[in-house]
Amino acid sequence: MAKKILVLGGGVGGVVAAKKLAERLRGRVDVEITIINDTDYYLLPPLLVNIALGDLDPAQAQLPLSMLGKRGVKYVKAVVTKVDPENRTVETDKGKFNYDYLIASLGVENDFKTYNLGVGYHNFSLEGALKLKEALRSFTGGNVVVFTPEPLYRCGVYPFEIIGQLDTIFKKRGIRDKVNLTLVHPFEKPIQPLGPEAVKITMDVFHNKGINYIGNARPVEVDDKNKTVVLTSDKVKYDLLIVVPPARLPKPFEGTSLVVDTPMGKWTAANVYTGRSPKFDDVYLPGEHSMPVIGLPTAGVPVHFTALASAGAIAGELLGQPIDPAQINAMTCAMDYGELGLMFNCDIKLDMNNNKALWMGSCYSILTSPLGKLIKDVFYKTWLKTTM
Amino acid sequence: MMAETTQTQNVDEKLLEMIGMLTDNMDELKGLLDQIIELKRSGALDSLMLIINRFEEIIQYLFQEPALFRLLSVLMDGSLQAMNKLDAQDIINLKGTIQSLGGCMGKSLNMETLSNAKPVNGVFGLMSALNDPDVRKGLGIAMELLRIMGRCSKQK
Repeated sequence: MAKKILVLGGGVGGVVAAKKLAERLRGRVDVEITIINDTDYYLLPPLLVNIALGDLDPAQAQLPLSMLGKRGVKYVKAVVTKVDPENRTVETDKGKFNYDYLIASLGVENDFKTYNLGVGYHNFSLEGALKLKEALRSFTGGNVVVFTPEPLYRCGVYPFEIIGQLDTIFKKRGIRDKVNLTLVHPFEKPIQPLGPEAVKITMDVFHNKGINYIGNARPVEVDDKNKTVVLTSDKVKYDLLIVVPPARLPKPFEGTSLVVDTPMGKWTAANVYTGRSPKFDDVYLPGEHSMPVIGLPTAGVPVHFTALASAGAIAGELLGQPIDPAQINAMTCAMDYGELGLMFNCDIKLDMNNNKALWMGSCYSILTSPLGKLIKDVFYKTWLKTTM
Repeated sequence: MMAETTQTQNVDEKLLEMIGMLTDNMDELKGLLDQIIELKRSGALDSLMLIINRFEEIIQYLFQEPALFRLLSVLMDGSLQAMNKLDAQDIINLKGTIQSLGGCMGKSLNMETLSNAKPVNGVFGLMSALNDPDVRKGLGIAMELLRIMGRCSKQK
């Protein structure tokens, strides 16, 4: 009887894991790999900003999940509604699925309700990116505010990049003198977790570009009638509001025993080295929903490598081979500040005793140059093209 | 029936369009094919395919070994930032210094010279070494370098 491996989520984690499992297991073990996703395409989230800024067509940022068929991976379009590890089942709007192994990588739920963020533009979905593109195209001047109410959101460097990129775009359109750019963020200093070098570079960029940074912001809500971002200590007027939604636990995990309480909210628990659930040895959780527990950022690179580690662990177990986890010792982040590109590397130390990846304060710049923009572009596009 | 006919017409139109495009660009396509064959014969295409097929693995190795990133940080980013602080004349001067000093030192420095170097024994040995005008000049340069390093270390 074929072993059933169910992969939830057709994003970075799900696709990387499904591909790796197929590569390692096909023809060697009787196995049935199924991936479930709510869209029939894989979309590389870092490219959403390129869509919003008009540099890229949506078709260039996605691949059909049916491409995994050539590797023998079955694809099902369905919305996952509940994960039930006790009964080894997953509930979806298309029925129940059971499994021998589960890899769940369902990203995060973007919370647009708290703080009334739904009234702003964003590029945390394809639809959002296309709306933001239109809004930017018709914008002729005024106050642009990028509002980040909480420190935990998808892709930590995003708000710092978009504000720099907006400056460049408005300069190119010849309306920069008619635009005020403000970034509202909970960190005292911009991009603080990456350490003093990143803070200094970013502050210099903001100074040179005339970008206002309101740090240590304690949010109250967005008052859309008065077009104001209300903070406990300030009110910031906007004509164009771009929001960065806080990340929350995906709904299918709510109320399950896969979840633990942390000072940063409820998230799924996973082993930092393999992505395996500490409670269920047939469940792997290499998604952004596990990153806060193991100390890694909610972003694609750590998810990619945790997914490889999970796939490696399952393959090793099924093949009776030593497990070769693919966790990383370095994490590089490519950033685009408009005219300037940056590449930062953070050394990672895995603290197995406390199940944490330690990286904050161990980051340094490896490139601060316009060339960094090109490298970022090439990196993401090659990443997409080589995923399946 | 009507819908099927329209669909067939669309396919035929697309086919005709493609044939037209191929005919219009025949010379360019032939040139491209020649280049692809040349790339394949030279092995360059296979190397490129290897990199593409193993991109994920390459990235994985990179991310498991931070030494390369550290080297890039120190040598590439550090040097780039230093270069950005200089103006055009500084670059011309620095290049001239590297060309003259580097060229002469590159010709003179070798393991034989170094292994045959006489040890300087005590104060008398040092005084004796100072009889050599090149040593005196070298010490002067070292003093000048120390002065510059002291001055620059005060700057942030």
